[in-house]
Amino acid sequence: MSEFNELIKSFAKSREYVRDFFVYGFKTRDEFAGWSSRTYDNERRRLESWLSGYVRQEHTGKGKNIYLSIDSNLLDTNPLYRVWKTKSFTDNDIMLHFYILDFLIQSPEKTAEEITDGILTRYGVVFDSQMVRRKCNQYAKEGILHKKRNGREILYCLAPPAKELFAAHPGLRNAVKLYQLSSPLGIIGNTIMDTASFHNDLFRIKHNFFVHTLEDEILLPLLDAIHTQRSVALTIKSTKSDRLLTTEGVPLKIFISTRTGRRYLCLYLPKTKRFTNIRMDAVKKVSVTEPFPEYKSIADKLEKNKASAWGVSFQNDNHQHSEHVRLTLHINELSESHIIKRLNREGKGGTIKRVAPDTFTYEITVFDANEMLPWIRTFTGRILSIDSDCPQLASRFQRDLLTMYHMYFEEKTETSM
Amino acid sequence: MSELFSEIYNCYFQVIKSLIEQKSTISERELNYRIQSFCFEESILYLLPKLGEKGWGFYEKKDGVLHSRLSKDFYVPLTDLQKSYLKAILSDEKIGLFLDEAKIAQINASLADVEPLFSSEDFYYYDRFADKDDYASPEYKEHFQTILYAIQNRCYVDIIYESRHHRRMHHKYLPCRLEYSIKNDCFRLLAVASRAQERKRVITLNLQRIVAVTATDIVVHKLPDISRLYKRSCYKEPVRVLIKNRRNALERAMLQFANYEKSTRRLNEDTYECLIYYNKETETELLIEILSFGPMLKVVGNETFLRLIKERLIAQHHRTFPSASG
Repeated sequence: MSEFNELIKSFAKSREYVRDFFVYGFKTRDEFAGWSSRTYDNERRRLESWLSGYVRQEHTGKGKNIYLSIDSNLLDTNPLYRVWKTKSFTDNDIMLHFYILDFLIQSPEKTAEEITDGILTRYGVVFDSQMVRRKCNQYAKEGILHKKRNGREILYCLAPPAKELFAAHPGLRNAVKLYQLSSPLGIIGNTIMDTASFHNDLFRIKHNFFVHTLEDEILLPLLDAIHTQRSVALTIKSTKSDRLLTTEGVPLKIFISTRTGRRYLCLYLPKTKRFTNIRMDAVKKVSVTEPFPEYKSIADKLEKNKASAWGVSFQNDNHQHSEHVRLTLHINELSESHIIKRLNREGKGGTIKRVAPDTFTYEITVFDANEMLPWIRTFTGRILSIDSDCPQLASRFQRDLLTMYHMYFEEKTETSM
Repeated sequence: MSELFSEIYNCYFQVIKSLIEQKSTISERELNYRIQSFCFEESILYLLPKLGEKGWGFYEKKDGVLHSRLSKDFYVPLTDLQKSYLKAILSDEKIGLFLDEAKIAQINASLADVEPLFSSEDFYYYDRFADKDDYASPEYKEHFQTILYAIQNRCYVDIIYESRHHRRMHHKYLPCRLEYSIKNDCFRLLAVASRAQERKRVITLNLQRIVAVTATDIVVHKLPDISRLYKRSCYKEPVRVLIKNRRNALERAMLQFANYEKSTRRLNEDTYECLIYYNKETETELLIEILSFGPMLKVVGNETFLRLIKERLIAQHHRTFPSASG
């Protein structure tokens, strides 16, 4: 039986575990389908080690239930970033890291052979010069070392310290404190704080979905494809059936919801000549392929189209190009001006009109009116009518309202729905 | 581009770096403490035996104290991935709150050999609110800078603030943190009110509504723990919600409420109970978020929250089915 190690080789498997614990946060061992008991125990132990302080547990009739309890408003950084700092390494990896860098600080511009000799003299450790060269080349590729040619020799030297940059620009240091929480790929900002030895003592974040960081390894090649205007081949796990599917397309943009926590990849499908959005958490693998010659014109088309998408849908079930929606709302003009403000700031440019005292209409044309239903429901209590050429919209609202009314006012038991 | 999941960013590498750059000698006790506070829960078991002569040799033990064998000037340069990230944030519109144009140009020049990792064009926040803060306003920048200064120097500020109802207020506050909301694309100041108040509570002020702010010379030794104050402000009784796992509602709800401190358990085959903790300030937001799910969610407690939901349902039922409501 192999010894337990809190570090891991590959991120892909742990990504699923952390996501399940974080998002669902209630599964007992029996409920993690498809995993052996030992796998579950090891993963749980790793998670408890990585995220200690955020893991809570309670005992239920079905066994121990562990979950992650994280209130993002209260934290200086995203605790899930810790998961990115768990890559396993060999003894040689860590020794070469510290010895090569330390040697080059004191003796800049040396060949791999000189570094190998220097490590032996200074620290008393023997390494093969090929191994030292490989590590130096790896670090040159990472940007940590610079390579210089001196005749037939290759000299290695250290890039300047991050602290110099931050000492010269304290404003940049403060900016990183914010962006590591608020920007895409904030984990990289967080590693900069580690490298330059500072922490966030200024900012908090609201309406952030920490779980997105688990998709960052997928996001990197997608951004590369977007910037180089290339197509991609994706492996996608169906959220309904768990089956793995493959698809090809042209990545254009990442669509993010600030409310639901969902992130999507907006893909153009040349075969059907359509835009589609794929959930980022469903994408398991990305291969960047050929340049797409019409990239610019398709990207321009998306820019025009996205204004008419309420969410992530570019078509509807009614075979119409777009659907018109008119909401009529009761709003007390004297005491409820905040509702008008809500319509203005959340209504994506829809037209708001006062049609009678305390009565307002809000109108918009979108590709798929059904996507508006969750937002329309937030006005429950003041909706006078919903008129749309999407026939299902008003009927679904009414049906759901009746179900809710029944649920709250006519059911006897608390747990019945 | 270099890998994100790399040992270079590994927690062990980071803790060793920070130990070396801070002290050339360290006691075992302090070493234990530093590893435990920086690394993972079980790291100490693996890391401690490796640091000395019999392991990686970064420390040698003399007279019961560990002496670093590496230079105190030790540092790790930024990787290209980190530099690309810095270059990306330099193009964000909020960067002007931290750096003027000349400084941005200087930093950009020092990062000339890397491409930005992303740009704002790569992302589309499709349901973000439209009334964002005006980051380009010189007054806004000045207020932002004054508040940053006050937080870092733990001093009170004198604020003139215009409320939602256009009433002007003048108070002294101790700024503790600036909160950025991704949904609203705005900053809020989290502060505690003047020293006269006996029971401290967190006050939230929108930066956009600050008319004037001046740092004072009243300095405190330590900023209050606003997380503790926030938790204290939460209602004792959380909202108790039942989730019927139809139309993927469970997964949707778990993700959407990931922002709140919560706990969830399974009640039967397809019904789950979720407890969500909230305070007066987040009550309406939580209420409309729950309503947006329709019949997939049912609030069963607390009584106050349940009453709010019921009031809205009664009003809507009356408007949609006036004859049925009598």
